[in-house]
Amino acid sequence: MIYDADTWIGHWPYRRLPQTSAADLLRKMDSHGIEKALVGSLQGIFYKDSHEANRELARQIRRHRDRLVPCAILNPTYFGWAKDLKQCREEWAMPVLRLIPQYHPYKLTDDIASEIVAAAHELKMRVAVYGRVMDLRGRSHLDNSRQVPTEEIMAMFKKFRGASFMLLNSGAVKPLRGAKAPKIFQDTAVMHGGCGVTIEKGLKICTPDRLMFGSTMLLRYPKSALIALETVKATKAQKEKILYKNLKRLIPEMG
Amino acid sequence: MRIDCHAHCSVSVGNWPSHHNVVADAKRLGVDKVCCSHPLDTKPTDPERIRAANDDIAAAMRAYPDVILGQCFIDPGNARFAQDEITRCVVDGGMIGLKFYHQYRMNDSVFHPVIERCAELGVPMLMHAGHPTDPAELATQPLISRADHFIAPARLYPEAIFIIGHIGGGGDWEWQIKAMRQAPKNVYMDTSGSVIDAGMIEKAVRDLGAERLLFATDMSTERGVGKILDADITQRQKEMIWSENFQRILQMRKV
Repeated sequence: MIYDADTWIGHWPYRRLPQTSAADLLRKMDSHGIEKALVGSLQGIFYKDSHEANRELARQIRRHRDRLVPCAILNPTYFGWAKDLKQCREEWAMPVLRLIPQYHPYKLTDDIASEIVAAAHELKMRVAVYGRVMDLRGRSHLDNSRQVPTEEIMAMFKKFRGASFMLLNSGAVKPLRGAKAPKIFQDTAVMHGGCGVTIEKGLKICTPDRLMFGSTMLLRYPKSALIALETVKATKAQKEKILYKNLKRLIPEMG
Repeated sequence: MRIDCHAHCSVSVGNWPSHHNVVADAKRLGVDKVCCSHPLDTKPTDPERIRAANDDIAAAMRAYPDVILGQCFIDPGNARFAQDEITRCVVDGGMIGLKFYHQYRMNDSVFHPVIERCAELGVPMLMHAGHPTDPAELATQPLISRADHFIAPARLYPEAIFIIGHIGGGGDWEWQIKAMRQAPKNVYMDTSGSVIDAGMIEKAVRDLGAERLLFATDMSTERGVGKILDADITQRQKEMIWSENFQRILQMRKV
């Protein structure tokens, strides 16, 4: 069984994606034996009012809720986010809030970021942060996004004692220490390559209890992330945790 | 059969991954042969260090004669020494081709004597290439060769064989494909690099033809293998990319 912590549907404004729809995502999942996935809408990054993308996403996947679990994207500097967040959770049953400070005008250390994280926690949502959304080395001249330093991400995490966060598409970070330290669950999306050492390093750093399979499809080819896990030196029990158990434990709505 | 036409390793000097790891990784992912070089990124380059780097590759070839195919690194700015290294490593040492880094762009006339020699020997020339659009990235390698820098030398030397390195090396790969469309048929592109954007291989096959693509990883092994496995192209096209095209190139050698 495989659960994917990191998928997208929708369009990327600077490059044509060959597949964009929920049906495309399901076909891809089928061809790779992936049963369920957390999914966000790429439009949520680029619409001025991200909530319109949340609305679209809820509609696009409403017939596939048994396999696709929607993630909200909101820009906390945009008017009305608190009400929008509540609608995402209570009306559309979105269990995850994805924050994208790479493309939205705030820092994770800003008070407004803490406010939306606290509000998400109040609604019993998990908050996901991206190490990076796109490789910027080939960025479009229209893409003015910024790289978010790991220090900024960790500083935000540290404000929420006892909370669990998702850190996606990022290199492995060391767990925070202390009984009440926030728990960081990471996906394997960039943990492959470099002579096979990267995912093994990720296993050591993040521990098998905090690592989840993530592919970033439909932005990228998912097979690379899959074969990294197929070939990694890990026990069957460790692989099962990464492939679905950790995500299922973190997001009960994954079923 | 899978031949990785672009990778690096080291036995005793430099920062590239160990030859043992490169071979183990290849075996793990079903890659039969790996072309390895040991380029230096300094300018000017030190002939003694180049000699040591090529000796290192020769040692890797001796350690794994059935897997590692050597590529001789030269700096065309030191013309006499470059010719001596080609004689030592390719003619006498059994290396299968040359590897260039970003000391000069591919259309710089400093390459002409080297290209003439390679055409005479029938060996391919692999150039580190890309189109980084991010200013910070470009600043680190201002003389990196884009695909259009191959057009003039390839027209001038139609019997020479050029390989544009890593389509996924971190840059605007769509731009690279479009530029390569203007290049003559003696220019190939390798599929390596850490970027695994969905649709990359399909677009390259559609616009260039599978006969001009060569499988490679540049040590992003899972990504290099995964993007070919995942690509929505025919099995026949995959066979051409995995090894047939490069085998045909190897058969052109006159040494």
